[in-house]
Amino acid sequence: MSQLSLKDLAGQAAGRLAPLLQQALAAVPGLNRRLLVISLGDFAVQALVLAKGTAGPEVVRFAEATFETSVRNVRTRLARILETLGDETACQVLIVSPEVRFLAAELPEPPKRRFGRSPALAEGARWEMAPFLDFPSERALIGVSRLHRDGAPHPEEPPEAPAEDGPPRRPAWIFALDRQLYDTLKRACREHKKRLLGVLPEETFGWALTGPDKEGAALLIDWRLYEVLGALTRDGKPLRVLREPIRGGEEDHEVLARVIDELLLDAGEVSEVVIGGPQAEKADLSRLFGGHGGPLVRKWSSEQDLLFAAASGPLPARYLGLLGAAAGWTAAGPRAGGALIDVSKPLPVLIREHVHALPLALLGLLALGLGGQYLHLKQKTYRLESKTVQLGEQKKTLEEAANAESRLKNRYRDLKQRKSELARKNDLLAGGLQERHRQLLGLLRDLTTRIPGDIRLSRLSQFSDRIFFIEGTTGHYPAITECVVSLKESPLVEKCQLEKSTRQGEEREANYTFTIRLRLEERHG
Amino acid sequence: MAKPKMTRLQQVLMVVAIAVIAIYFFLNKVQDPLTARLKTAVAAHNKVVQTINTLQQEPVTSAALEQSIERLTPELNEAEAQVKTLAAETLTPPDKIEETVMAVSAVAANNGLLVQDLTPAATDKLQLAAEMQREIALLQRSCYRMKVAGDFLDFIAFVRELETVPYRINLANLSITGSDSYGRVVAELVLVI
Repeated sequence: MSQLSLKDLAGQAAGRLAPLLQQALAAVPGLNRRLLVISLGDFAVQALVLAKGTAGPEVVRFAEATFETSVRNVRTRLARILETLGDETACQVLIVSPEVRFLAAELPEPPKRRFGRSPALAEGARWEMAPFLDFPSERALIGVSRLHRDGAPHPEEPPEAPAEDGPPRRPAWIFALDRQLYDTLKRACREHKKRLLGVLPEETFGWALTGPDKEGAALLIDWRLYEVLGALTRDGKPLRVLREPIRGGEEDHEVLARVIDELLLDAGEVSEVVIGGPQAEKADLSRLFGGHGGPLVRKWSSEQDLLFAAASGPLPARYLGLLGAAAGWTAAGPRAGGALIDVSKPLPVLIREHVHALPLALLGLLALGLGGQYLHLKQKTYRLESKTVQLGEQKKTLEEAANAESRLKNRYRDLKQRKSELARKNDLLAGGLQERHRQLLGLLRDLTTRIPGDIRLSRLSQFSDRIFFIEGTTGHYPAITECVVSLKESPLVEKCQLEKSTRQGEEREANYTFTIRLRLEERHG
Repeated sequence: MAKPKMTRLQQVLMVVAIAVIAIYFFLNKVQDPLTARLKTAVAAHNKVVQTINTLQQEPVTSAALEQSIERLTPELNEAEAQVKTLAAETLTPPDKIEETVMAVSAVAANNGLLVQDLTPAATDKLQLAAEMQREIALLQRSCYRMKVAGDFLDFIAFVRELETVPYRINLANLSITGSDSYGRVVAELVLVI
């Protein structure tokens, strides 16, 4: 096993990570700027992948799928070329289709400072195109590419003299496509997760001669299997296009010469004739045009004749049409390229045409928001109030239970109090009253037996049920103490104390007045 | 005369004005009353929830109370009957109070006491001890203010012979004064019949 260095490992890791990183970046909508340009032919479908390079658009991939027999189904052709391309991350698709009808005409010049497309111009183009369509003109998507004023007029259809009272007229190319076919292409792209930007006519191949040195007039020929397309360009911009079929029994070079001669009639001085297309790849032009006395005839080269070049080398000449369409799109945009786009009016134009739509939409949004807020508050309040009502019923039930319990408690308390009263009554009646009377009687008897003889009682007063005060006088003070001690010994007396005593008179004639406080024993009952 | 059209700026200003007026009216006429109602509803809801929580926290003792009441009721009936019997035997019936008073007066006279005063008195004007007042009210007894004069020993005999009266007699607020060398006293008391 060979040993791998860190550099090798890093290189391998980078090689593995690069496609993943590319896929991840392509998945981000704002970062994927690749453009897939597809030419849908009956026998061959070609595709280019353009990316935004540092010096402008770059061709990063190209591929071709050929069929042995004619295939008309759009989905099949699209599926085949996408299968040939493999994992292609480009999401935006431009399609070059031979189904786009072409007409060179003169249209009214729209007023200056008019933003976007003029509806009158589009309607005029539709009216001009209507006789050449095999489907209702109302169903047609119309594209208009206006030419410069110094462009040569069409020889077969000389421009009408501008009406004195009408607007000035200007040469233009009109393109038309059946909307049904456009929708079919759009759906087919969507099935492959691609977005169709627009459909380009084959006549845009003239933009394939837009190199930096393209000054003056030149002829560009797209030599195909059954037809020859010629474009007269000036300063790299197409002025006139001519399509000439190669009929049976007719030599290709004869048709080529006829197209070149016809275009040269309008061009005057032409620096060179450039021939591309699938038939030009293997043709020997020096043999065909060796005796031609006109301008220089040479093969078309992507590196020499385009602003951008293929990254992997020069492209074959059969990619002339695709590269022309891509160059027209990137250089001049959809309007100059005559692309057919479903959204015929740009958003700013739509906004300007429906100036009240945005404020009304804002007002509608405002009304919607206010209504939503109102409903939200209303619903919240309603739910809360409903819940409160339910809880109120629960509260009522609980309160009724609490009241019933409170009534029971009160009744129980009354009964207990009643029982206590009855017990007290019973005690009093059963013996308490009699005991009290006997206690008082006993006290009176004790006063007669326990008070010494030299004490004279002056007063006996009852302070409460069990407390009595005894007042008396004596001439012999120790008798007072003897009285207190004697009363204390009584079984009826709980406590006996001398409350106060005073002396009156001198020495031997002195009298002592005293007050004794008695508390009787507590009775039972 | 053609009606003049509004300029773009006027139209935008009109839309802005409509939006401002709509928002103002919505806030004043719809949002504020609804918010106030919502606040009221929230307060009412919280109050109800708090009450329910308080009620649910209190233990339910209804069953135990009912059992206790059922147990107490017959006991009370029995006690009431017993008290009624005792009261009929012990206390003076209302229709025999005068007879009892006369009997007391006779006992005093028989014991040589001079009855100086024997008049009915209201309980609340007698300055009785609280416990005595409660007992008098409990047993619904009558009070008489009594003043007798006589020998102290006679008074003791009077007190003793009160037990011979058919119904229970009690004495309260006893005050004996004026004892002289002959043992004569004046006794003031409340007769509880």
